Amino acid sequence: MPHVTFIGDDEQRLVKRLQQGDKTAAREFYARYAGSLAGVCARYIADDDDLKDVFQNAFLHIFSHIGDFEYRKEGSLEAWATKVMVNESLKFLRTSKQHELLQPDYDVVDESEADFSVSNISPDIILQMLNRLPTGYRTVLNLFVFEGKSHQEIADLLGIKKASSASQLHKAKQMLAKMLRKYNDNNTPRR
Amino acid sequence: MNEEWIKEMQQKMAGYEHPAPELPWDEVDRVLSANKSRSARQLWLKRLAAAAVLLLIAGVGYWSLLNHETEPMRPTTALVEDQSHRAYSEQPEKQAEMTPTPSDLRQKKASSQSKMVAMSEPEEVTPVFTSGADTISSSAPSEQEQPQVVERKAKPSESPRHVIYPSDLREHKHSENRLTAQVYMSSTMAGSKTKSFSQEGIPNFMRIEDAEYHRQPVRFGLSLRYRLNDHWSIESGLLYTHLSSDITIIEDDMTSVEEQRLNYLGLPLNVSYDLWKSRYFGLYVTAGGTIEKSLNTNPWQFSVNGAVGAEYKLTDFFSLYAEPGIGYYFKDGSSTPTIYQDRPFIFNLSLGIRFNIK
Repeated sequence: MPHVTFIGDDEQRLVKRLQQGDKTAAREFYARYAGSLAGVCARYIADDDDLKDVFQNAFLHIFSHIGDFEYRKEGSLEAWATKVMVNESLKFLRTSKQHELLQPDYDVVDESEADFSVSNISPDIILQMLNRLPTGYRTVLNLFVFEGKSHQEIADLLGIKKASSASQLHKAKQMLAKMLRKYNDNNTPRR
Repeated sequence: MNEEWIKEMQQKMAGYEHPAPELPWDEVDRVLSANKSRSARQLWLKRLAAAAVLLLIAGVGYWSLLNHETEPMRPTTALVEDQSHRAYSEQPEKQAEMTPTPSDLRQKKASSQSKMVAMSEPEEVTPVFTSGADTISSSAPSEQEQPQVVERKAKPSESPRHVIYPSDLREHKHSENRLTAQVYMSSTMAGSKTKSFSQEGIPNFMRIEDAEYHRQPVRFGLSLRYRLNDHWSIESGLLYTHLSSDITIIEDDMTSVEEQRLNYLGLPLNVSYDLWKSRYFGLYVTAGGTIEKSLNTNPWQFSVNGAVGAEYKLTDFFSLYAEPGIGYYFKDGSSTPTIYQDRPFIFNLSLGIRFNIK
């Protein structure tokens, strides 16, 4: 079945159609948001097969719970869907990677409080670097940096200590800095 | 700590898109079909409720018209008169355009005049009607509707109740309306409140804000109100309350959002005091308590409330009222989260109809 995207068909109407069980609305929702929601998922889940599972679960959750969603303002549908995606990712990590979330801190042999800049790095490279972080570090960094959560909230969520959240973030940052230095060294145009 | 890198990362990854996996569309469609039947059910419930309210109002309206042919009867009479008049005078008017005669002109004038008067001042029905009736009898004397019109019109003026209506009403109300039945519905005035999980042990972290809140309580009630004297009344009845909340539970290995629905049946007891009363309006204060039992799991729920009420009397028989008020809900001692535990003070608005039975 060809699906038509109605120009000017706003979020609120899309929500209503989903709530009424409109199947073309689900295709439209997918066409609009799948890419960015997959982007959210990919920050948490490094493995492609796992990502597919989590992604699909999140979408099924969204479609089955859309009746409980109340549209408030523009963007609230995507914000809600993003939260569902993060939730599904964490659920997956908690069930299958629990030991990695709880892993003892790596001793990063370091060094200076390395500040770094990603202003000249593409999002794809940043994502690759995030995926190379240990699961626990990556999760804490994601929650802190992109979801704007506090260390206390992260600790509650992941079942770790607040201090551990802070130290994992710190070490994640150091590892990122190291990766960036290496990347920049390899990619600096030579004269 | 230098937060520059955080801002940079956020900016870089904002709107980042990743190749999206396909969805199991047959499963998606199954989920959507479930939504469809759910939303259809809700739609039918709403329709049923609307139909019930309409039937109630129509029934009550009809009954009160039959039994209390006073105020609302008059516009109806005027309308009947006006329409029949117009219908009958159409033919002569057309003729008049071609060959005006003095009598036709007179008729035309009378017709437009009667229409105007009938619309603006229903009180003046009697003289207007006479002029209309003249026209009718002159143009179509044997029409069936004519006697009917006359009969309906004549009734109010013959009725002694009608004649004494304005001066008698106040006394009438005070002396006779001792017992009043009420049907009402009530809801909170403010929008739904987001529940914040502050209980220890339950992290308030990744709550799905938009999907987790207590919806406004919705109440339907039936009650009887008994007037003790000029100012005081007591009131009691049955109260049905529906509470619905989305609860997000985050446990060690599971996150779930579920809808919690609670129904209560309650017994309110209120005392009200009339502050001011005129022919059509009444203003009063009311206060009391309600004991409610959950039909689901929660134990008894006690509450106290107070409200200011305004009443508009449509006919002798029934009135509309609105009561904005505030209620306080005591803790019910259970762990089931409800809007009452979250916000013990609730502003609410009740709207209802009163039937003056006796």
